[in-house]
Amino acid sequence: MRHISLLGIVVVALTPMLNGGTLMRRTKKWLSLVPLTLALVLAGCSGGDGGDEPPGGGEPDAQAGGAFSVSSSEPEAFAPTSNCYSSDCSQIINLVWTGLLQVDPETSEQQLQMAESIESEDGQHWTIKLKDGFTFNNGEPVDAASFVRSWNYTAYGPNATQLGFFLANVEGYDDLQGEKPKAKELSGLKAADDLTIEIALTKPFSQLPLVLSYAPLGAPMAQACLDDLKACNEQPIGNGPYEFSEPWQHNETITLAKYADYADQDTAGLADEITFKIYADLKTAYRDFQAGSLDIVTPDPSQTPQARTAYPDQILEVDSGSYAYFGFPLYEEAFSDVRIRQALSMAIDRQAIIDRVLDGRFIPALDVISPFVPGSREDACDTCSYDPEAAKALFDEAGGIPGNKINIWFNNDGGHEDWVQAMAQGWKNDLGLDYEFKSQPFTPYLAALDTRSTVDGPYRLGWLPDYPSPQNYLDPLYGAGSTNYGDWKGPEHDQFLELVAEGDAAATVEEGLPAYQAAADVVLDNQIVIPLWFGKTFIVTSENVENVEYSPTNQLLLAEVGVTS
Amino acid sequence: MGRYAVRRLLQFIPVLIGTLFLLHYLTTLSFQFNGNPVRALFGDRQPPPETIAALTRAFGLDDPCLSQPGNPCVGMFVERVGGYLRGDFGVDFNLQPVTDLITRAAPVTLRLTLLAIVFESVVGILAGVIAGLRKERFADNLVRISTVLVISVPIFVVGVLTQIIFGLYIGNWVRDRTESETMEAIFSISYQSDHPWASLIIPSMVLGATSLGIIARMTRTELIESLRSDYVRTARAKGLKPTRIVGIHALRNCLIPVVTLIGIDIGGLMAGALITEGIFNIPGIGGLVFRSVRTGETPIIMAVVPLLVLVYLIASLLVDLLYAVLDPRIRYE
Repeated sequence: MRHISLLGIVVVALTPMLNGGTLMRRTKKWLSLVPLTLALVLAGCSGGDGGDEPPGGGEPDAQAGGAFSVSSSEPEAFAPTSNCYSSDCSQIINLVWTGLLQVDPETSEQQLQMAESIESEDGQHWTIKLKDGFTFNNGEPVDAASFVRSWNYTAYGPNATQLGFFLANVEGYDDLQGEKPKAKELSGLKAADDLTIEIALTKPFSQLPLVLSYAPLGAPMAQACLDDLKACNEQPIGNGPYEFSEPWQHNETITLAKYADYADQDTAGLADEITFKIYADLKTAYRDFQAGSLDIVTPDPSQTPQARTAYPDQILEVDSGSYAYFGFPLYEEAFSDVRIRQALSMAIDRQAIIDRVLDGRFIPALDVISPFVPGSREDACDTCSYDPEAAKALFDEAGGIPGNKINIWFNNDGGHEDWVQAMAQGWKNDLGLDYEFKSQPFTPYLAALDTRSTVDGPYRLGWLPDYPSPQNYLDPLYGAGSTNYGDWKGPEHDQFLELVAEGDAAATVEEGLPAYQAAADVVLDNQIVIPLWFGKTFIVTSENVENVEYSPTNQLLLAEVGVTS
Repeated sequence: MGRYAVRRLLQFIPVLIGTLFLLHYLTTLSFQFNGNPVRALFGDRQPPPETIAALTRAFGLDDPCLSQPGNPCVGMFVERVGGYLRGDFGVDFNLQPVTDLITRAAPVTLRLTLLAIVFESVVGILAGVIAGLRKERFADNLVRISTVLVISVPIFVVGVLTQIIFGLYIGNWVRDRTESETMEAIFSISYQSDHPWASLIIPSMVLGATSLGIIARMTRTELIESLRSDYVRTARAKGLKPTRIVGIHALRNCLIPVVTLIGIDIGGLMAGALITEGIFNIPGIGGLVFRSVRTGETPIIMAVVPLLVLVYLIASLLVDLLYAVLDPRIRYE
């Protein structure tokens, strides 16, 4: 679940952190009704049924046909797809719409879908050729105009789409903003003919194909959908391998059936029917799974230990892309010395916290780029391993922190207290540093960070990628006009910006990698943040299904799931 | 009685306007002091200011008075109430009309509440009568002990235990042995939209459990007291049948406080079904309120809370009118 959730649009900060890590956007589970301790006790006494046997022997070929069900939270929106900025809707959009391309989560290879080719000479002017013969559910052809229509709608300010700013580097974007925009269409976007799209950017950006692989942004829009968005939201008109077989049953179910006229047999779906059962509380979903009425479920974090024991062979545990870190208020004198920042980073026993507090659902971060994206390294950070002696020495050498006390900032509605407590206690033990918690709900917490002056100590944040590129772990976090709550500036920051720009200007995605890695090194060498850990997603599947795969940006790849019985 | 009812109905108006203004002021203050909830939609991603501005406009939160802490934003309030009078309750953060959200959630909660009320009154009064008639015998002790249990154990414990025992263990046993979909729905873990009544039976028992305990104990005490009273002794002396003495003379009298309790409970159950709804995945009003409070979706709070107030007001009016039926001494003009 990329933006994991329970109910509603907003990403709220309740449980997500427990689960994926730290990202609140797309994470919206807010009904943690049963206190954790109780849930643990109860989980301990509910045995699994029928889950103890390993799945059938051999590697059976994925069969077409059959039906299966998946747990979900209430999705936010389907039409326009650009109103979707969370996991539950993007997972379904990825089935009901097919965009230009997708990225294989294991090999990071680009797999073209609607696109015949995506090319650029200079990284600034792009030409996209489309495959012929695809249609929307209502018979309209999927042509260049349908993509242009979708992106113009997305970028138009008064439409207030959540993904509009992803197109900010397309020429003419600024003219579409404000209450009364100057233009209605992006000047840098043209349908040259029926099957050719031309995109002009304001500056080179090698990662554009990866950005467009994000299904809610890359999906085309039928004219009939634009004419009646409200109806299209309830019963979407897509071009993907599946379609809604009945209108959206809010808070109850969404049923998809195979789209009979889908033109490409390679990417067509396997199962005949997919049912999404919508839950407000994931704990209930897992119990439904135990009762045999669900095939694919994401248990609540409190239930993962029980699930590990009950269904050891039916667990899918892969990178979720989430990244948890602590930032530094670099405008504060106390944190201006890099040695202090390094000492704090080295005085955290990440593995111990993960094992003892976080149920082993994370892996320690030795880079600021998640392992699932190309360009990530296993040893990028020298100062991210636990070394209490070296930390203490550095800390003393730098003269410590005035008053020997820091304020630790985090939001208190995301389940962060326990691990922040463990981390702070480590600082106290290893560095002799006193601490005080400054925690508040997510909205005022973000408002405090936005001031870039109120927050006077390390602050917790997290990240979930929008597209599988190292650039997405760098620019949005430390770049100009980005999160950069620590107000990082100066020559190192300029160097960082230059390196990111160099990666952006590369001709292809791969050629950009070295520059991005160098940019990541600037962040790590200066310890602008304390990388903590990367999240894993935890999914349990029944014996009815096979070949379940997960992509950190588009979630479960359900079109490829086969039904065995 | 008619004039009394009309007067009470007219009193609803200031109560509702007061509630609306209070909610409006509180949500306004929350916005002014906590900051714009739209920003939290993007989590840790910092969207460009024009995106925040466009969304804030789309949700109708761009009034300049929202940036002046303490300002009650009377203009916004008048605009909102005007919209309500035209039937426009605004949209949530998914741009879904709030009226749609309520019309989807309300019937489910109403069914749940109705089942819970029936369950708690029928079983509660019955248990109370049996215990009262057999004071200090086995049945009485059983009722007293079990009611203390259901009253004292928090509802989320009762709920989760019931779900695991009935939904999972007994449920799996039932599913292995029956083809009946209704039976499967009754013992399902979560709410099934195909079986809108059957799958709510067990949740409604959980929801009504606490009130059931209170009703049973209250009925028992009241009944014991009235069985000792003069008019019951007179009725006995007249040679009336015991069933008539208990059913008509004693019970009718002791139901007055019980009816008050049940009436107030209607409102309480509708709003307080949150935990039960969460455990059994019932898409009702409680979940809607919880979600909107968490995310700061003012339009939902402003529409649902006055609706609950209205339910309370109507329930208490009905209770007051019922008094006159139960006790002939009570007259409304």
